[in-house]
Amino acid sequence: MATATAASLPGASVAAAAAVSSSSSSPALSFRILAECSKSKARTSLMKLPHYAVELPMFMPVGTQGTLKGLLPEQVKGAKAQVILGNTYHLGTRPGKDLFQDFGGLHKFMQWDRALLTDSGGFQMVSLLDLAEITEEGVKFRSPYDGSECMLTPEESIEIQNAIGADIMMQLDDVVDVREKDYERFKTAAYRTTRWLDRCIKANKNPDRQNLFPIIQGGLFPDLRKISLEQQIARDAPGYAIGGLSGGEAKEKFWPTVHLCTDHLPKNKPRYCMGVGFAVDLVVCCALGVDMFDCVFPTRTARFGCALVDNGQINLKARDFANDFRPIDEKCGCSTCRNYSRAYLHTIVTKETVACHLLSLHNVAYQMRLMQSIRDSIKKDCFAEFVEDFMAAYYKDQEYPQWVVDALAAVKITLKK
Amino acid sequence: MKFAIEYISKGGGRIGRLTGLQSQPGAVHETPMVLVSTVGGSAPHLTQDVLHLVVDKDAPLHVPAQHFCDHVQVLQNYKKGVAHFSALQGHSVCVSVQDAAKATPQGYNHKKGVSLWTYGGRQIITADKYMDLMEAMQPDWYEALNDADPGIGSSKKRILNSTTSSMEYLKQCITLHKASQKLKGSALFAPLLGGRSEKARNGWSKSLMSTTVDKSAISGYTIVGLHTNGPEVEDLQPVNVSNIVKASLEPLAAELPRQTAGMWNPLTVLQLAHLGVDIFDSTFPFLVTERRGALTFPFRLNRRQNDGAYSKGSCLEHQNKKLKVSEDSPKAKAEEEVPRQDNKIRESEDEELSSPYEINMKNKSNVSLMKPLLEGCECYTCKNFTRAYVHHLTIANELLAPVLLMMHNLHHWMDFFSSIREAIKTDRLEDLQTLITTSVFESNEV
Repeated sequence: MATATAASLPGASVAAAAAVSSSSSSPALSFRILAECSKSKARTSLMKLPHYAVELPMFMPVGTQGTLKGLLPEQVKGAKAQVILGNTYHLGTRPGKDLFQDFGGLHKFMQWDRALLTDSGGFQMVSLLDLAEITEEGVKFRSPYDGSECMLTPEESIEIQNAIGADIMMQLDDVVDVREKDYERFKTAAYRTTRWLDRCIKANKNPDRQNLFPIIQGGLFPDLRKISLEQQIARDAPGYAIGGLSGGEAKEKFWPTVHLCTDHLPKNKPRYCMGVGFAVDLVVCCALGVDMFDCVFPTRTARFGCALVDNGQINLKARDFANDFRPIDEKCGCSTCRNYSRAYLHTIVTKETVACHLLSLHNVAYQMRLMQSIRDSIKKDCFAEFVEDFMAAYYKDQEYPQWVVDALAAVKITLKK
Repeated sequence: MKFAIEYISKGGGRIGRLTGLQSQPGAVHETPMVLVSTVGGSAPHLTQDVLHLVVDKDAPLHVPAQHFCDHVQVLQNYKKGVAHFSALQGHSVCVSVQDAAKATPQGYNHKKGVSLWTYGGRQIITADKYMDLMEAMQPDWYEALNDADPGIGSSKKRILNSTTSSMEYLKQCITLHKASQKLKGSALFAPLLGGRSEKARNGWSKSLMSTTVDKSAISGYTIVGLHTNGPEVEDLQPVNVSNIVKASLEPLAAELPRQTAGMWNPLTVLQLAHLGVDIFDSTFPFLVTERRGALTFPFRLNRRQNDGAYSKGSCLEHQNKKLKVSEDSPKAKAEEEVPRQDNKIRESEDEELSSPYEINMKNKSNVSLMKPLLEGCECYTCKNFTRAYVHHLTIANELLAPVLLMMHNLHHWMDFFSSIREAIKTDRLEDLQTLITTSVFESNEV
């Protein structure tokens, strides 16, 4: 099934990539580009998954433990979410894969009838557990419940993910903290990630209804990224993820890595940049040709009383809002903005759970509305103008961060002065 | 506000009709009825659209003044009242002084004013301040400011002080109410107090009926001072409450509505309904939600069968607990014969609070149960989710757990009240008491 094609070798010309069709089809995923930006690498597409036909580019809110922060599934749908993300580490621990096998998967368990994506559990292990140790076999760790030694292998990760039944599963990858300085560590990780991908592919019991995405590694080293790209693309997956970023690295290093990856990844398959969620980052990455994103940010910041707006966030705890009877955003059509005022939210924020729900709902709706605007502008081929307007509104007095200017310039978008 | 008694049942309880509410001129509410308890203006854990999946869009709310005394300024600026401010316009509002769900610290009231505990700390509220707040909140009806401090074991002197202060506040509230343009459409309720002393309560109620109080300003009564709010109320036995409430009600004009708030458990609610209390709140389902309980007590009376055996219907999970059973069979007049019952059960493994009226979702027995919280329940939670999922959310400390539980518990509570009304109309209130008593307090190994 996995064949290395000429078009996926590093150094393949852009022209050759353009000659490849703008659609692809796998047993559990079909992808078709609907429109492309005439300047940048942005494109808008339709990705059909077993549970839902998803419009790209899109943002996936994170529902870690099989729930999205106090929101009913119909509220999440009302906010226009298409795919939500579940965490394999958390769900595999509790309620565990046996329950999912008995219940017929997470969709039924949480009553979500659109698409689901699960990560592999690897990242959580490394970031949450003190004694996680990575070996060739897998990730060795101590159970936080009884202290016993456990091992998360590629096979085990896929077994849990098969039980959860998400439309898209992520491979277990050897993820290194991006701020690590040791080149050799990244090199090992790049090669190991491919070996683990092969084990994941083999372990997948449901290739007909569950997609498995490889993850591109290599840290911030272009040569390692190219090696990882070449190897992973050779496996001919339904889609690919760019991993190992959004871990606190400098933005100046972040965007060129994304740019490199999207240059090499097949055009006719979805590209997923993991862990990206800030509005500016989303817009830039879309310009760089990314289709899918996830981040805890919108739901997490809601817990602290922050609502997302076009030029950042407002913290409703601030006294400024005590007598502000406007909704969070007059342009927003979410049920929070249609019914609640900033002044009321100010009285309950961080005090009552209802405030958390209302802000989570708005923040998810905000992200969805942003992605819809991006998609619409690409369809009308005015994405470049959209970006210029967006950045001008976001950065007062046009004090754009240099990385934003550079990243957009690399794809022929010039910001207003 | 207009209140008319439609039916007085020989078997206990009465049916009333509440109309003429300023925010819902056309609405008719049948009593005994239940108000949706709120925190900070919202139903606990439920946003407006979620609340409307459980109750009607005009379901009356119970809003404690305590939650808004820090916000009188913004309400004055807003000018449209507390329901509208909380995105619940269309719902009528009853305002009481204190939050019935949180224990009121004792000993903080004195001549200067009543202490209200807010997130910002303690505020001392005089009658003037209180009425300013009422004008800003624009309730459909509200309770006069009162010092209902005396709880269990209050001394005679303390009770006397509280009744003296409260009479002062009542008179001030009446004066201000009558003079107020903004409160023209609002109805004023007088508190019924006197601590746990039947004599004091009877005396207080008599004074309300005397010429010292302008009765024309009073549209109803709220029964206060039986407890100091909070979860402990649950442990009060119906038999303890009954005589005290009777002493309060006896001197009063029967045609005015009587209201109560607090963590009254179902049997106590029935006892209060039996005595003719008309309006209740939903503190019980709220606090059950807070301890992650799901109400399962039965309340549907089937058609009378000759052998007197009623279908258990929605049965309770006893989870291997043995409950104390009285020697006399609990039947008929529940009043004096109701034995001392353990209302709260502590599960030995994890020391979680529960009651015989509910199942605790923390309990591991739920972990793989595919059935709903309560078989046959038509609420949103039971129609869509399993016990296993709600258990998972509970153990995972997820915010969706209290949302789903509140939806179920509030729905169950509302249905319970439908059943109460039905039982009174058919003179079967005591049968309902028996149904619940026998289901809940029979030893039953599962």
